[in-house]
Amino acid sequence: MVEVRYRGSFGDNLFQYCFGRLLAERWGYELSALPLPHFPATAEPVTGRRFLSPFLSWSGMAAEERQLGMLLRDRHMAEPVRGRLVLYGWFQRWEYYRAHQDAVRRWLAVEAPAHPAEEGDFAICLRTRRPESWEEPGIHPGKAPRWRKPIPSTELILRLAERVPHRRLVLLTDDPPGEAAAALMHLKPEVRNIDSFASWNWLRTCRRMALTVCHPAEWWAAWLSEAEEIYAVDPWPSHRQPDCQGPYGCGWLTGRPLARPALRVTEPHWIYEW
Amino acid sequence: MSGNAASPQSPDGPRRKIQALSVSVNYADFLECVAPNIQHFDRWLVVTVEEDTRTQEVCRRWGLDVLISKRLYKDGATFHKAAALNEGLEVLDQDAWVAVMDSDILLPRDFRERLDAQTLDSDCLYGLSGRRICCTLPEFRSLAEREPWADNLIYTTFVIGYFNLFHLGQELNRYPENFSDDASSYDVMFSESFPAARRHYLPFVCLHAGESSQNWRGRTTDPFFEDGTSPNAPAPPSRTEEIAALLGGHEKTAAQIGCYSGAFSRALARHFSSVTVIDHWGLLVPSPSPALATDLKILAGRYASETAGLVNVTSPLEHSDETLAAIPDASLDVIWLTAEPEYDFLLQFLPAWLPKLKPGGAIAGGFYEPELLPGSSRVVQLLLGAPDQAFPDMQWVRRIADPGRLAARIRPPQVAGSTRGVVYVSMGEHDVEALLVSLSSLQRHWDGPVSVLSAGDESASLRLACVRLGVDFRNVPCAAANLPDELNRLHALDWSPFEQTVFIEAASLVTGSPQFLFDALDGHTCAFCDSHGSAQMPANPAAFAWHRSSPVLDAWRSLARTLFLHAGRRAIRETLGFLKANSMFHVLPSTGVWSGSARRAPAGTRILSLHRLARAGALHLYQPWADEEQALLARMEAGI
Repeated sequence: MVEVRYRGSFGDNLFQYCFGRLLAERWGYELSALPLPHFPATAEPVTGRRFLSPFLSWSGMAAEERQLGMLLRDRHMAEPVRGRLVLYGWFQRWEYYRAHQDAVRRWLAVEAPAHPAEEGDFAICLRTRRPESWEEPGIHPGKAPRWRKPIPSTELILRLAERVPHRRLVLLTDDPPGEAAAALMHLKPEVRNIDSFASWNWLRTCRRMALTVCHPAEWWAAWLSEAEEIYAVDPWPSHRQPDCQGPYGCGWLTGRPLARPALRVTEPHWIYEW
Repeated sequence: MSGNAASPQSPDGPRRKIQALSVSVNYADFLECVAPNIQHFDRWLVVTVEEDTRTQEVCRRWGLDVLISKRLYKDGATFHKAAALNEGLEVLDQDAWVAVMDSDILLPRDFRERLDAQTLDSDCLYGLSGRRICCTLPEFRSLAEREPWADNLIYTTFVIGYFNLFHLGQELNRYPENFSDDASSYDVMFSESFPAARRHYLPFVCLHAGESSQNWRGRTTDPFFEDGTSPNAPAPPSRTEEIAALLGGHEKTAAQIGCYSGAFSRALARHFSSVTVIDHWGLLVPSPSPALATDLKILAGRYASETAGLVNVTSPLEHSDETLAAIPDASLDVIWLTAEPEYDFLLQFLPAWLPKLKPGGAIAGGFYEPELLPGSSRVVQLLLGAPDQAFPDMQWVRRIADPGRLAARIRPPQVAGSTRGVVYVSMGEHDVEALLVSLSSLQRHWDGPVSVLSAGDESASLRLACVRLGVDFRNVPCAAANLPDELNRLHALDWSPFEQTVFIEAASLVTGSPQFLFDALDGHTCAFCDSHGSAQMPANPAAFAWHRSSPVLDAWRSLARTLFLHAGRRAIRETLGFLKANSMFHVLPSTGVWSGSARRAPAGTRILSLHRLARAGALHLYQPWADEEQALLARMEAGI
């Protein structure tokens, strides 16, 4: 049995469910996970083998055997664990999902929004709050860095907004009066609340979008979308560079290389150099 | 740096020399509890201060070496543990390993044997993989006698200072002294100085005597036991043989859940015609970790040799559906739990295993002593009922007249697919009591499905109470720890399993059917009762109804979350006002859900919100609430 215990919010929960279901289906195990709100296919029963014990727990950003703090790679997951596996982590690594996009799309199918994005829409996501997963104790010593100003800088976002052709600019933000949103106001954008499911569902239908921070919710909207251009950031470009230029600063997550998120999508329509 | 020839790193070489080092200042009570650790080490050096004669006395009795620190309080330091440890490290053999341990952790009985089997790299730092916190001496003693320690562990997410094993001949062999003059951070800094690839966990856990994460600046916690107590007094002798004789007999069958010590299986083998052994701790489960695989090989091999030749005992079987399916229903006389009765496990275990028990068969287990071990004892009482017999070694026996019926009662009710249901949300232990009283009052007026959503860390007491009250329980995520409860509650409501949901706030007394709120959804997707009088809320959030398709919750939550940055807690109220002003929900008269003075509740009130009394901690002063509370207690105490 694979059992999912959710943590954090919307985007985090999508990772957790999908990781659990991928393992359960790979191993022919029963999946025990609450159905995700808004995603009816996650209520489908996934049946299979069931163990009552031993209790095994994986946590962390990468799958990590909690008992030994051992980071598990794909080869470790090929063979089923012979026990009751409880997932209590974040599992925010694209490597786990990339080969399963069609299946994941099926599981996370939702009703199309009443007013989907139009051809000329360009969405810019501006978030000020960092994901809860960044506070995971033990992934890194000390505190995660505070969320900086928009990443890249407001000037770069502005330049992007001016460069990418669009008929309508839509800002999805959790801080409408914030600096970045204010700097874009002269472009007369439509402002929406980034925390609502309705906005997320709309974003999923957008053909052009910019994710100015790597937040799980927007990452999922982008990855599930049919977008042609996704302007994204990779906050974790490398591990322990001596002269790190990473936009989130360096020195964070110096623990285990796999203990950090790795959501860079190496597909041509994901554009990291803007 | 390469391995040291005098301390070979291979388990096949000569025995490694391993020294232990601890700081113990005003910690004699804890040190006394864990002094048996001395058996694992070639030497154990304890750093203390001149005035701490109790620590010195414990050391003398147990044969531990003592070093009087000159630097612990030097230059006005608060409690410079790193400096004291370094004083100790200076005098140890530099060509050997050292286990730097807190003086309140107890290692497994066979720690040394298992450690010797591990391959160690003298360039690395090793920690333990987890610990079990024992807040009381009885808990500590009962667990010390019963390994393995596998339940309720806190896993280490970083190699931290309660146990560090490293070779003194390597470069990083002293603790950094510059970061603080107390015990709060030196260990993290030390661990950090090892590259990630050189930090490892050993596949062992320990018992931790007393609360963890205390006493960073010297001892402030209460004594672990009263003067005159002997923490290492021998435990009452095991009654396993006697209980097995009581329950066993010719053609009697037993299932033993969990195998670790062969002695236990041998005892059962003497009294039962057949014993089915279940590998509860995963002794036979392969592990991708070489360290764990090595350890499991030792444990499994030892169990096998200790049970060799027992013809009426099965080999350990995996704890799977297939194993269960091979055991005929109503075929077992006894199911014997060797692990702690842990609620999350039992809630899965009992519905699956009870049908295998003959009517009138028995469940036996350990860790039952309501005064000394209230947690595990309560789990047994709530799920199985008070044991028929309890023994001085904390083992117990409960006979089950109708195992099938009990299994059905423990099995959670199926609410998936129900169209209409009532939902409560618990935001933590602080609202559990009120929620249960309210739920009890609801059940007088509503026999439809109810789901309790517990946001964040699961509340064991709430989950067990829900089992007893026959309602669905769901542990849902807490969206963000830094948001107020009101906002996280809105997130939690998303997880309602129903198409149409009525939410009722925990501190509410239900005095009539909530059906009127469901009825209000005819033609509407969301319905609130109006607020009344001088109440500040634009609509009453103590109870309301919505349809899954309603956009109102999504809008309310997301707007409030944004506004929270600027308006703080007022965000909930203001966004609700905005939604009402824009006619986004149907508004019912205020009488259905009443938040004013309870005494002035109008006729027709069905849900009486008592949140003001709850805030004042005075719910019990309202007599109808107190009466409901008594009725609930009576239900919970009644036999299952």
